Amino acid sequence: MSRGLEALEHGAAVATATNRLTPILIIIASLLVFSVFTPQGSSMLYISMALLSMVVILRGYTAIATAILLNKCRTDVRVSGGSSDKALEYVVEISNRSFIPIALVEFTLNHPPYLRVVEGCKAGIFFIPPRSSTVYRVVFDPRTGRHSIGPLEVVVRDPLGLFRSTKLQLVKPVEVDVLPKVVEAVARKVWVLTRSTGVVRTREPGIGVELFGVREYRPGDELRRIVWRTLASAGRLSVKEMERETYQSIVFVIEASPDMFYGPYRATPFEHAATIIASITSYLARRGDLVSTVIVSPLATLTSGKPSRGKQAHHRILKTISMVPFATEREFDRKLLLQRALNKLVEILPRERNLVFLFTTASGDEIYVQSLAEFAIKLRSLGNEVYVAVPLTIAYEVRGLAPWAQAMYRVKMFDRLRYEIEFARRLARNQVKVIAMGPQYMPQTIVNLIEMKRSR
Amino acid sequence: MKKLRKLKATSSLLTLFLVFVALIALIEKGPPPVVYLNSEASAVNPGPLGLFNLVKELESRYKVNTLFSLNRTAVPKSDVCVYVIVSPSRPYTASEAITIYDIVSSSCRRFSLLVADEFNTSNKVLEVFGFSVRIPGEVVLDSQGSPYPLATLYVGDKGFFVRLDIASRVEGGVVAGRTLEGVAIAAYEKRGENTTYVIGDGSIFLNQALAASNSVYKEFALTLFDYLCNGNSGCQIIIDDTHRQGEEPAFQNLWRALMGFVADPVGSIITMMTVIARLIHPSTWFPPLVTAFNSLTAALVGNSMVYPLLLAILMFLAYRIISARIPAIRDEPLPEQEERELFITGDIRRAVIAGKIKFSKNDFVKLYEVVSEVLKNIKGVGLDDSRTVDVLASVIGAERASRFVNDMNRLYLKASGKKILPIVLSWNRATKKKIDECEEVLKALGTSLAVEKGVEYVLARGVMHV
Repeated sequence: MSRGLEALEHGAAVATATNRLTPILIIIASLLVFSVFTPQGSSMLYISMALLSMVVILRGYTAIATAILLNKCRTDVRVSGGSSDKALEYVVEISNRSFIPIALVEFTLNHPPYLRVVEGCKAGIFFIPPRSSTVYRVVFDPRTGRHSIGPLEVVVRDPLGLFRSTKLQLVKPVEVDVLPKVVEAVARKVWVLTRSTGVVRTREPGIGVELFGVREYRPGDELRRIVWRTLASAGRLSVKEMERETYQSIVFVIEASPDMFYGPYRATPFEHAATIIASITSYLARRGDLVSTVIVSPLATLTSGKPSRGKQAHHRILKTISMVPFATEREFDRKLLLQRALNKLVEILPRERNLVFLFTTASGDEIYVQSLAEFAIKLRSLGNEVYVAVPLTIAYEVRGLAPWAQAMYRVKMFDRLRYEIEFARRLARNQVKVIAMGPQYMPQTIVNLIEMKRSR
Repeated sequence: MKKLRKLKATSSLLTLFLVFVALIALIEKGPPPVVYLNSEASAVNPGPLGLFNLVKELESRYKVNTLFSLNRTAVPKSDVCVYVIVSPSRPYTASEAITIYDIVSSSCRRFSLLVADEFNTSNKVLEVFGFSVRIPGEVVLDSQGSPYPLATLYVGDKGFFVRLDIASRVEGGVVAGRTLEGVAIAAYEKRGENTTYVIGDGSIFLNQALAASNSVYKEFALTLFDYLCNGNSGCQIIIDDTHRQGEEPAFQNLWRALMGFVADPVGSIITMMTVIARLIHPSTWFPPLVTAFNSLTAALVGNSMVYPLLLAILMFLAYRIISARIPAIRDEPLPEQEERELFITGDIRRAVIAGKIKFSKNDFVKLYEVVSEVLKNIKGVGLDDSRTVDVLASVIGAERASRFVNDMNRLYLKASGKKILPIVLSWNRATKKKIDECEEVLKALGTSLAVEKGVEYVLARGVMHV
């Protein structure tokens, strides 16, 4: 909630004449001159005075209305949503506590250009009645990450548009974090897949939730594990044995360079990686694995902390992803990003046997390939296993196109595809484990890799 | 300090307007009181011919009141008064003399009248006051015929030897002064409690006479006033300055003052300031200016050629003045935030969606390579392999496979410049047609160019190094 307003520009909000006033001034000037130099000039003088009075009154009204908007109005901002599967709603209520109506307030809402408005309008005109309020509402199609919505800028005019105020900032920018969507279907799919294949089982008794078998009671066994039915029927004291759960420490790294933010709306490599991580960590949280994430972008280095388990870890990861700013236009050194990611990983990773998945783009020069290889080698030397997931751009960008257009697009973009595949090959030649594919099989492939590692 | 300098209480226009109002008000108030340039024996004349020094000397001893008009209320009540008339510039009328008498008699219980005059201008006053002394106004010459005779003047029993300057003889009363030649030059007369002392020369009281220290004129003057006041320090001296001609300030005076600056610097400065004050007063220049402007306007309005032009110019000026006070800006609407979708290959994608995409022979080469790579990944042979027809025959039929492979290779050779035929070929049309054919073949092989899970999944298959 914010009270009052702030002038956007350096000066105070003043009523400035517009070009519409010019013809009226010419008429006033003509009437004044004729009133002095013609015999029947008095009537012209009255008209010119009336017009001049009207101009003065309108100017005063604009100044007063602007002052009221600055000092007497209250603005309440509400942003709801915050998840990529819920509409992002931005509502501003402007209450006019004075007895003077504020007519003709032109507004425009600034928002990131990559955020799409699905309901409401970005610019227009509103009227604030006296002792009343006006509500402005706009709905965005949400995208994972951090977005700055606003400022809401306004200009006050008189009813004839002869005067206008300077541009005012009605509402300051509001930062909104949109959580990635957990695709339940993906989570369920990988859960069923891993269960059915049985790759998660250790075949050893221990602490866990799955029943391993029943054995004879030994001193020291917990009483709650006694099988009372066996005792009752056979008179033998037996206890349940559970299958030992395996757990794995997994860290997802996103190299959030600008290329990761290019692609179809809500289906860019970054958003896809976010959805994959959100869905997989949802599954891994249920499994009791240790999970964490590190995200490096030109604007920030974010982490959910040391790998931890459970719903809290999952939620922390979602929160971390939601804080990633959309960096689409910054020049930066990608090698430096990898270095930052490596430093953060060394800081948070447990001693060894960790799985690290790095999401990046299949673009970059030889230096970047070498940097990625170096990244992987360093982590491997610490006993970790590293996979570099590179999305094939074409697989993302054909989404939403008609079949005939997809065919044409694939032909046109074959060079790019070939380049990206070659990039992946270069990584592979440098002994880097690569996952190069489109969005279709990425989650399943990653989960398979995790389960394979677990069963080893 | 800079801020203070910039501080502006009112706008320039308002200041000009106020100045204009003030000018009108000054003119409406009428002409200013004229500050005369006084070169006579006036109490306010500090020049050589004034009485300023005498007044200053008397002020240190008595209450001095200078009358510039015959105003009864100007004279406060007093026990003893001395009414002084020195060289008046014009004669007193009977009514003026009566007024003077009324003033003096009503304000003072006992009074003396001192007249120092070369002409007969003060006789009416002497007459109204009831004294018999008169000044005939006849110039006294000495034995050499000079108008500057030496004389002895008596105050009581004390005599003062002085040189007179164009003096007149006096008649009547008790003689109080004579020239060396014996002509009565001063007289004394007492009537009741009131006294008069008449001298036929006013110049003995002038500044030039009193200026010198230990001057006999000064001594005479002070002794005379002590005598007339009878030693009473509460005595009121009333200097009559009502009968001065004065001179209105003009440019000539300014010139004269400059010329006489060395001789009389104080007088010259006063003259200059008076002239300048008169000249800058709006009543001097504003009415003629308005009259001139009025005449000019009348002339212009009267001219049928100039009148419309004048109106147009005035309209333009009025518009400029008003618009300068209220500067206008172009009223642009606030910019609306643009939405932008970011694609690495945005231009091509937009062209594809818009249906404006054109294919060249390079695009055909790309198509050829896509199909060839997919075939290699799935079947182990490329389009340029001789076994491809056989391999594809099991999938799409022998005839179709043969035609497809041959057509693709033929066009590929043409695109790569190894073959000339066909001579006339639209690569755009040919590529589009071949895309459709390739799509059918790829579908038969289990992949596609036109679905989301497309050929890239096949091509990337060999890359996975997990």
